[in-house]
Amino acid sequence: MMTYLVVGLLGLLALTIPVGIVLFLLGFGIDAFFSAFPLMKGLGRMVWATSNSSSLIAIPFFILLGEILVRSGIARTTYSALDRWVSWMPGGLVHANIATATMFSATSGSSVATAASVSTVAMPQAKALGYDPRMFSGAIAAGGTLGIMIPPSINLIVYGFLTQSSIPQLFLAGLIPGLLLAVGFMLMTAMICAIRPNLGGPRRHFGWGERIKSLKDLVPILLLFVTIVGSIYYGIATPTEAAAVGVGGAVLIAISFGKFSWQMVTQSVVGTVKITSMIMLIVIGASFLNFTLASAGLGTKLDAFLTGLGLTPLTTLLVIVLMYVVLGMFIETLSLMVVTIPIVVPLVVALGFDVIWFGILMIVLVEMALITPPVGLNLYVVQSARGEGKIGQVMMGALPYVMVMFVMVAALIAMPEIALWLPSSLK
Amino acid sequence: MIDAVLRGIKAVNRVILIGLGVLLWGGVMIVLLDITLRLAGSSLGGTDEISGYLMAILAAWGMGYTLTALGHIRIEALRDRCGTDLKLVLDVLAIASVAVVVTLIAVKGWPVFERSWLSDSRANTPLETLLWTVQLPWFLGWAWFALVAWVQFLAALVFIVRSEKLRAFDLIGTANELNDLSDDDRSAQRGPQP
Amino acid sequence: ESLSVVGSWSSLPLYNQYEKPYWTEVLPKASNGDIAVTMTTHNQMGTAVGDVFRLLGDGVYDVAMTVGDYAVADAPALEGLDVPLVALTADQARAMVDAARPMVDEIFKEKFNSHVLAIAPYPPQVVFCNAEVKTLDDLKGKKVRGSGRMTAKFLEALGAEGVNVSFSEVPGALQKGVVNCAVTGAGSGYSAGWWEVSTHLMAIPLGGWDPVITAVNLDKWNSLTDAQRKLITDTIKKDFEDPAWAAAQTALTNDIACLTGNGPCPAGQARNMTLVEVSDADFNRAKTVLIEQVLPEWSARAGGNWGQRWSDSVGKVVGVTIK
Ligand code: NA
Ligand code: NA
Repeated sequence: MMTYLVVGLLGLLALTIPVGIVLFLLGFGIDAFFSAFPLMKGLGRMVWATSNSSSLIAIPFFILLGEILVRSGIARTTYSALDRWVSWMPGGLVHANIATATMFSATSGSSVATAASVSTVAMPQAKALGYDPRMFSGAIAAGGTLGIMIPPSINLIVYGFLTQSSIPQLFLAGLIPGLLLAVGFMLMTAMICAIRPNLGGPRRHFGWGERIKSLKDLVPILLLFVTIVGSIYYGIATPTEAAAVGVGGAVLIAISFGKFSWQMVTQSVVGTVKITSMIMLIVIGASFLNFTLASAGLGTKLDAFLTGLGLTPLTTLLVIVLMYVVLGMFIETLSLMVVTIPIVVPLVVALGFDVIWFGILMIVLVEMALITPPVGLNLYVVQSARGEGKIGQVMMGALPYVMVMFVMVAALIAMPEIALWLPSSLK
Repeated sequence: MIDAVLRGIKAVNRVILIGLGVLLWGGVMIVLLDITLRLAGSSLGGTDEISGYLMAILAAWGMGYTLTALGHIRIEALRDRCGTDLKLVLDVLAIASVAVVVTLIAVKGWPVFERSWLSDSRANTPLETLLWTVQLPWFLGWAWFALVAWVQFLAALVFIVRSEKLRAFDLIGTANELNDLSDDDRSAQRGPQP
Repeated sequence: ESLSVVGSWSSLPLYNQYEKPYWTEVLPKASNGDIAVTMTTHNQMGTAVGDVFRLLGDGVYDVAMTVGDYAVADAPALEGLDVPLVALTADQARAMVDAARPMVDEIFKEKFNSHVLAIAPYPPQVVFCNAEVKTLDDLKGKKVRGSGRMTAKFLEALGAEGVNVSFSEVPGALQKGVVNCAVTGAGSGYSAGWWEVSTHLMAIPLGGWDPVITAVNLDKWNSLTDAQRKLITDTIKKDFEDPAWAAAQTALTNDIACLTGNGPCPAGQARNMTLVEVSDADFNRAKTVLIEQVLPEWSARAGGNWGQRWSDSVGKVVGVTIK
């Protein structure tokens, strides 16, 4: 069954059949070849049950939020303010890409939405200032992944939903690892560009007066973060409702900047519908595939396999991490989570690991999956915003940041407090 | 004829987008209203449930538009290395598989609606929503998606038979590639403008 | 013969202590290898709880079990299986469930094309509050997270406001006052740490007993031999249903001890929630609301003669007649 899955997945993907449709086709195959039961009868029910989800509504809301930020000009002013603060380091504007992505992550629950927003404002600069396209676009793809680590986060909502663990606790746990990753990305950039300056671009220097003056441009986005996350922690809104609060906040900011228009309302819908449907087809396909796999007894088999290896908890964990790295190359991330969580998390918890901590570890691995070829959603988002050159350049540019993520995985395993300290100290 | 059909699809999708826009912004406003009322000590109740239905309908109806906008993710690693004709073969295969799979989903989605309709099922919630009222628009969304996919498939075949390859690419190719083609390339090789 | 079986929540004790051992060990062994079982759970398959019995009826799998309340969308009559407050002990709850069994059998045959094999209890659904409550009257005006439709209706009739919050969000919601009270099993509340964020415990089954129904697809059932059917019917009662019920009362006593510290707690450290004693007068007032308002409404909702049949069977056992 595993061979069928891997070969089938890679084969059908290579044929350029849309990813969501491939997942359905694999599910049909499992039904036909590996299950004695008429699973197809459950197809309609599964599609309805998966899409009728009040948690997933956060996806279109967050994408809408990003669309408004870009269209109202807030994204651009944020970018140029951060440029004044961080571009003096080796690598120049690449740091502004990472910093802007980090800032946006604090208001967006989606990595795709974050990467899309940042690309829109940053990409035009790359050519104008003569940056090497690889590192420049790779940094946006990687920085964008922080969208699901720094709260709010759709993927953490899904994780909490599937594992019945507390979403606000997960959000708190993601904050420090998210910021550490951002710092790690910048260090990696500075290091590489110190050695090979031509990979980055000109270092940019600004006076303190200019910097201080630019701070006011960061106020809107920080206000938005405080509104979204604050509304969750003060019990005003649930994590999913907070996405709507964010949209409301973004609209207010746009109005106060005099940028709110009827055109903005209509244009933002088109982008939101497109990305939401694209993601939902994959999510629904993944959950149907999962339904067939569970019916065909994959959970029991995997369980037996991992227990049969007779490994220590730590080694088992490492096997699981390795599995996510490999699967993450080929499978879209939300599907990866939906498919594996019901099988892997009970096992991990039984081994004595903390369920909140593992959620954060899984998010790092999922972030990695977003920028590892051949299937890396963020790579594609950045490439489509770039509108020129080969996708291979973005892939190359993102590679150093995958290394940073590996370091983060190791750090989380060695020191679980990185994730657990904040939620436990605020309990 | 084929142009008229494609124009028709485009026009319907525009209307759908307006409807989805109303749903999307309406959803945001309902949630915000509920939060405000809650702060004032009252509540609309059931917004959670309503947003679920909204999501199902939004996703179902948006998929057909997304297909015409070449928005569904495809992995192009291998396709990039193919010549024009082989690319077209892959594109036709892809759109055919979309059409077949989505038709299956729509066919299997019908009994979901039918059962709720026949037994007057109500949601197990305080709202007691009559389920078919939300499952019918959901089902129709998938049916529309299937229809769009078949039309694109057939139209692409027609273009290929007429050797209007660029028009076929426009219809069922990939978004990245469209970006790579300069406008001159396109107008030079494209058939008559629809 | 091979059976595909879908259990209830993979993380709950009923599954781990009773469902899984019975289906994967006891039954295959008792059949001397004649019956083989593949088991998963609805949450591992990612199916919605409301779909579990629909898919069973369609023959997607052979055997399924879940809380009866989840299936009431298709069969409002099923709400009569789990009426709040009328059964205070596990023995009474079992008597109630046994009396309702013929009705449940009929509903499952008609609505879900399946045959009921067993009905086992979840722990009774008690009330956790983060505000001082002394009587049921104190629930008036409070925001309460309920479970199941009849419980929600009952809370509304008592003057409380029903709020929909998912299980994992309850602690946060209690802490911030998004809800004032929440209903769940005493054991689940203990292990999920609800005692950290609530102060008062009303140990009465305001949310009923959430009975879990195990059923088999009717076509599959008819295809089995008489001997196989008899084996399953006998062993599931002896090795699954009876032990699960026998443990229910002890579990409730222990769980309450764990939450309030009024006795030894086998599960770990005892906590010190305030146990609210509901007076007889208070209790009877609430029961009046139930009998005069909630049950007649249900009877109308269910249609047919379900109300009458309930009064004649379950009602007799618990001493309630729907007017
Ligand atoms: Na975020
Ligand atoms: Na990947």
